[in-house]
Amino acid sequence: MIAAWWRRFFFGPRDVRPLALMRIGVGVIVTWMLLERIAVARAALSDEGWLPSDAAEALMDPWHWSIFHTIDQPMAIAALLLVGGGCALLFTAGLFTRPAGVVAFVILASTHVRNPAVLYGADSVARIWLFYLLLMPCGRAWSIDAIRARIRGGGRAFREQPALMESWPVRLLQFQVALVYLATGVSKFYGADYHEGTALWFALANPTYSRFYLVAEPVLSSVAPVLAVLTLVTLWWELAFAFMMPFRLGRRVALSIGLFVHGGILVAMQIQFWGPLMLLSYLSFVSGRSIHRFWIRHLRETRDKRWSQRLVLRFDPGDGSAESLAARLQALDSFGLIRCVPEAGVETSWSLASGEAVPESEARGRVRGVLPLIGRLFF
Amino acid sequence: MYVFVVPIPGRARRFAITAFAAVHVIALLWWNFGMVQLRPRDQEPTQGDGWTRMHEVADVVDGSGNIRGFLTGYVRVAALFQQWVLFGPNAPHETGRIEVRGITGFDIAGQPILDPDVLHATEDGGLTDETQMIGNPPCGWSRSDSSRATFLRASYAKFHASVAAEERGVEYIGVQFLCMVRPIHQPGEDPEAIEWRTEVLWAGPVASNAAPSGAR
Repeated sequence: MIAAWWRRFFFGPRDVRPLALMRIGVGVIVTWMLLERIAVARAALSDEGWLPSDAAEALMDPWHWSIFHTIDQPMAIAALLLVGGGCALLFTAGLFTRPAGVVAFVILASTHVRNPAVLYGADSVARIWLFYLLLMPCGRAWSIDAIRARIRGGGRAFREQPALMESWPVRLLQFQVALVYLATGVSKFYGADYHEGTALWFALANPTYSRFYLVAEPVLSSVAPVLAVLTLVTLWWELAFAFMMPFRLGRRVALSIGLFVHGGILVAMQIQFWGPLMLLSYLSFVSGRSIHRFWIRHLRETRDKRWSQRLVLRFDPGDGSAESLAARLQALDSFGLIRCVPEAGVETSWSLASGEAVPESEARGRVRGVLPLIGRLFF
Repeated sequence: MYVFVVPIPGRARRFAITAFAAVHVIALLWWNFGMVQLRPRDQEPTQGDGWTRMHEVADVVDGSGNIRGFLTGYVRVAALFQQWVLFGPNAPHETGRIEVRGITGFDIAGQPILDPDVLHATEDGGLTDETQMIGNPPCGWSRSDSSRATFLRASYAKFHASVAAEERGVEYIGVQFLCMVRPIHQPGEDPEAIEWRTEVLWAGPVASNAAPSGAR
């Protein structure tokens, strides 16, 4: 019985799409993190900078390793960061997803080891989230890899059958997210600022953190009691987060408070990627069905708004180029707007569902106009 | 199928993944909470805590019992891959109560290498790009008294002094690494009534390649 439960819990099937969405978000942030370091490659990562490689190695545990311990020319470092940024971009788009992600991870982690003094919490979280995403087949949905696979498969098995994966990498990620909150909650619990309710005050009254210091400062004093309450809410929410996760209601409450907290941090404080990264991790708690429901609603609205009738493509299955076109359309047609009808011996033609003929140029124009951006790359 | 899991079939594969997950979860718990217990309570948390703890772990658990030794091995393997999944308590439990504005260097003989006026002229105190990347001084290494932080400050000051001297074509014999600090005001206080004071973060010779004082 326990074995069966464990098998369901840890190895049961899971919709890939929420993780694919997380892949896109984390990929964008990692791309930015790697590319922005090019500007400080010399100062922060090279032997000509303020922390030469031998000094950095002396500071670290000997088990730490970084590519940048062996490469010390600023131009070479910048080139490697560019490669890392490019791979992170491929990971985001889902082209050669896993190999590109591995390369981006190694380069990102290497920058962290080479000079840990320039890091903040979001750097660690981005690296860790990227690691978990590499354990998952997150390129199976909403990716160029997925489109290529569909094209190879002739557009079959699409729409009705979402890509699935085993649950275990997601379970590990969920555990890590809960642990981040619990660990930071315990750490804060030992601090007087959180019990006194002044932590939020000192964060918002500090120009280093506060995004709207000059605007907000005059009113801060008047809302000090509210800040005290919010400080305590933050402390206890972090402490309780892990224990609320197993229960559906608790999960909803905890994630909702998280949206509020991280949204507030994002708006009010200059802590660049911390909030977005933590919010992205919430996707590991979201079911594929809820994203699907949102997506389908959007599709229907778009279809109703832009298309009154489906477009029909009749083609000869013996015609290689026509069949290829039909396969690509089937693969890309997330909106369910095009019906491809194979008929032996017919010439390739386009029409509306009512039967009215449509010139090919107009048909292709309509397709380009409505397919997602990725579709434009293929037509 | 997965990066590190060889395609073992059926039950054996599930067992292998479960075993990995168990070790991983125990290591995470131990990393996050075992070490918290080992840390002195009066240690001021800094943003460098992550890698400081790595040293503490290695120092404290070396040669201890089997399970600890095993987990140390796992942590060290993980360290080999740059602490890939180890996330410790990152948030300082005491928020910064000091506002720091501007970090600069001076010729120790009194001739400024970096312009001291920028400390007062702009809101960001003339922070350079590199300074911005270092993080927020109130909870970062620049406020810590640890030897590691001193070493990093020295390296940073040395680099900036070199760059500034090179740009201006001046000789230098030493540098002071300074910042302007003032306490963050309490509710009801006027922040502008609180005066800034200059604080020396590090001072020493920078003309030679010798390791700066404070290195360990």
